[in-house]
Amino acid sequence: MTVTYRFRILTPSRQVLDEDIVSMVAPGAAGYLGVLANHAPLLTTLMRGILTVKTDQTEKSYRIDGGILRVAGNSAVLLSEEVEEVTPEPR
Amino acid sequence: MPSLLDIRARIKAVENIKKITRAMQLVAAAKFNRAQNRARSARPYARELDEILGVLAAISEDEFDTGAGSDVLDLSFVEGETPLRVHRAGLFEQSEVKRPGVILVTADRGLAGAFNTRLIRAADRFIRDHPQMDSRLITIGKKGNAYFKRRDVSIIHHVEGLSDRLQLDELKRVTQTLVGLFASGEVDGLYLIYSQFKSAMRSDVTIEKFLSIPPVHKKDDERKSVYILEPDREAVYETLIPLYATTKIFATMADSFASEYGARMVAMQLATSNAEEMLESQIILRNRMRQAMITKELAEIVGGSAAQVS
Repeated sequence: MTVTYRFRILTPSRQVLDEDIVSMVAPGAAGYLGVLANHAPLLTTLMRGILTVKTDQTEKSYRIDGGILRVAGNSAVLLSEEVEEVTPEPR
Repeated sequence: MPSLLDIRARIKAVENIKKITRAMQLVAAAKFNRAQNRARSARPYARELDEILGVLAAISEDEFDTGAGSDVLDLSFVEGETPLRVHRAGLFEQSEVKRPGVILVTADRGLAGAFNTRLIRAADRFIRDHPQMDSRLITIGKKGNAYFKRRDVSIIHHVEGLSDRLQLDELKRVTQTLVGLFASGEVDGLYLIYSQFKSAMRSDVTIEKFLSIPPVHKKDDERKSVYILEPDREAVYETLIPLYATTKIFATMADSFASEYGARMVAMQLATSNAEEMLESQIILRNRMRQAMITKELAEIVGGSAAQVS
């Protein structure tokens, strides 16, 4: 079984996501960064860019307008003022 | 004694008023539902921001003492505008406030029961209760402004016509102006007086400190877990503080609108049922008077014919 962690995406007007996920790749201040389960506690600012979230079966992408990401105790919360789901480009 | 015609006119008038209050009630109810949802969904985000601020405060605490708290932060609210420059320590310092800016959030419109009055009274009391402070007022919403304009209080800023759809861009500008008053030293503390939304029947007038940021609940257990800060502490603060301030204003407006519509809905419901009650009593009065007239006419006819027979 794959190891997962809880991930929430919140904006001032809604909760965009609250799921157990396998991994994500976020546009961090110092370049894109990947987060897997049991990541060390982290507080990072985010840039405008594309966030990719992988669960067991699915993969979703979001366009985010900066924000902040907190990872601690095998859960993560992403706060951004604008988040919009995008359909990933076909490969 | 009003004539039958007077009563009929009055019934007509009350019927019309009832139609109006009923319509206002329905409009307020529709708006209330939307505003209530907005107020509810703004909360998790705000709570999470508080939490992060608490974490950051806990891990910065040791460094505060060593003078590292004198970071200069450039806070950017609206893209393309000059950022506001503040000292981080100044944002958190709990020193005595001498020139508070009181942000009074009322509605632009009335007919919402005691909604505006309660807020205005709270602001009035706040200013009177702190005579040693040189209070300045910032009004959001026409009603509070209209009241204090005629009084001996200096209003340093006024905003009206904010959309109940809570446009983020609009609110960011308001937040920038408010934080700007603090950053420039025009005020040395900011307080929010607004209506905190509980339910349609209930909202509480709340006075809250907005700046400097009140002591946050420090997550002491978090201090042991060593956080990685990226890119660095200063940058995290520079992102976090504008988010925090904007969210505070966002949540305040969300609460205020939900409370306002709730109050208007209840007030109009009451007005409608009052109109119904009045209508009922006037109709009874009208029927009684009409019956009295008929009885009188009958008595006259009977009396007249009796006079002729004898």
